[in-house]
Amino acid sequence: MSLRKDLQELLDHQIIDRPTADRIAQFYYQKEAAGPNRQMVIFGVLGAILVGAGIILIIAHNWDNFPRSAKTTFAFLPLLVGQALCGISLWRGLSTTWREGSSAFLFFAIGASISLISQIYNLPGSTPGFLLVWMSLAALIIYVMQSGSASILYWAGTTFYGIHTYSSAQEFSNPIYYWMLVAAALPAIWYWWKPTATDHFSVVHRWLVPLSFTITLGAFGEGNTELMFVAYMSLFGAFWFAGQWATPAPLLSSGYRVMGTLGTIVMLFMVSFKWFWEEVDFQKWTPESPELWVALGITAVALLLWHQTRKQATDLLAYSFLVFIAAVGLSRWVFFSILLINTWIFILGLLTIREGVQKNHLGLLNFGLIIISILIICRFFDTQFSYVVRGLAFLIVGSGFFGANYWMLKQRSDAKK
Amino acid sequence: MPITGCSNNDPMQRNKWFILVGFLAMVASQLWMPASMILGREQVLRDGTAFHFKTQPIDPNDPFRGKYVQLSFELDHFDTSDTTWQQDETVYLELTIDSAGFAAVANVWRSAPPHHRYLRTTVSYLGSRDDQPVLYFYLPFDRFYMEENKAQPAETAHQQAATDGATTYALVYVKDGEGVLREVFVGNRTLREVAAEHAASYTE
Repeated sequence: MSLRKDLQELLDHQIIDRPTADRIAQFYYQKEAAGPNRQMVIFGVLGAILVGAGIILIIAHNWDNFPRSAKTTFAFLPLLVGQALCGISLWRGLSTTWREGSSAFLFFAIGASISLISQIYNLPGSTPGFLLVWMSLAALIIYVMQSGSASILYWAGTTFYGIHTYSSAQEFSNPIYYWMLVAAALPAIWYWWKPTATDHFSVVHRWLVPLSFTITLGAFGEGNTELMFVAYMSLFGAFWFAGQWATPAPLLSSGYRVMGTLGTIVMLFMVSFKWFWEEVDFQKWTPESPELWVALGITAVALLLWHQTRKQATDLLAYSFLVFIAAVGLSRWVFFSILLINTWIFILGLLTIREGVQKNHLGLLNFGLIIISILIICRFFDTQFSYVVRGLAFLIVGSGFFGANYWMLKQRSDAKK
Repeated sequence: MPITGCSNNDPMQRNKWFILVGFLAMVASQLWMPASMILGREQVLRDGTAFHFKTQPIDPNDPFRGKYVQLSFELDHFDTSDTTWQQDETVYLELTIDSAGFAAVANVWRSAPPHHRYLRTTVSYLGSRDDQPVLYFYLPFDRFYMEENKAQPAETAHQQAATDGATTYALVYVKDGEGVLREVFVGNRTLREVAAEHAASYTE
């Protein structure tokens, strides 16, 4: 047992004395004895799952022999059991485990009930319609049970619905409904799983929510999809500003910040190519274009978030969406748009390198070098430089990688001495 | 957070009453949706008119709602003189029974006709035949759910029956625009019975 080894190590180094070690061991022994036996819980749950699965299989085997009334009763059973479990969890104030488990069970029970009834009565309908009804009924679980697991499942289901909205041919397939489902869940994010909270559910939401928005935003694109580039760039800018609220949480726990950064970088490289500005026509939008209003709305949200976080928002990367909008404004003159974007990427790379040097941060230094390297590689594809020039450029960049890292590591070891 | 204890003026007590009301609203809404689906269908099955729609099934799979046999119907069009019908427009099919005992469309309407024997559906497209406009429409009861292991044998059995010249049709109850698929028949027997026989003979 590691506690015993740790206690022995502390004793050997005379950090604690024998009576103290005995008291610590006794404390943890009593704590473990008072809590649930984990093995019992695990095997109990496994046993319950197997029993439940066995019952379901027996019912399924004889399904066709049951009258419609019996089938309908079975269809309601999971729902009633889930609601009863949730009610008991609330009434008796049971632990978080009970609350989260019963909420997750009820979430799936809703889908199971609707599915079974659809099968019993051979109901027509589309998958988006089914998902829309399911999520609409599941939304209240988040608030009544204050359940993080129900919220995560809700966001996953809503995102899956959002993916179906890319095809408007199906009934109930409309991105507006996705955003209505999102609006229903946002207050919970605001009150319980804030960007500043550090619990597991909050961290998962900080990844799930921006991922959901990124996946489904494109569903608004119809006739003027060019403007969706503006919408996406502003979305990543908004993520970056939203991620500022997550500080000082570790970077990897802030999905907003990571997705905002990576999304912006990827899009900047994508729009740095000459072919993009020659092929994409930003002049043909009309005031009736839904893409225009989506882009304007998201840009407004990004600016609002910037206003809330402007004192912390010192990274120039966050303002890339404004640079892109300026480039779109210049798109009638392709050369200037290309020049603006490429110059901006180059400046970002240089400033990131400089920040890495100033903060003695290898990660930032290499990130800046990577930005410049990728920029050079991208330009190889749409410029006419000779192989010699390209080879020399690669040599310089590669040497820069080695040199910069070696220099920083040497600085650190000199500082230690 | 137990919902017991405190006095009515206590903020905690008010919060607990909100939770109780929220819980009851959640339960009510979650029970009401499937119940309303059932009640509507049961009413059609009880009070609706039975029609036989000739079928030609195939077999896809819906990942969320189980195995079903996709039905396609011979009755999918109506000769009309109206050329203004648009794709996905709502159409009301006034139903009748032909001399062979199968469902037929007597007329098509843009609003509900003044009796119960009509079906509400959507226009597939407006075509033409011999320079005459023909209105093609969807029939909404195009899925027949079966137990997973039986759906494939059902399709095979149906195709075999069609080859043998047997008549296959769906029994649908219709009332006030709603149609509820009750059963699919191959000749005088249900598709489930034929599929079970077919599955049993296949494994022997």
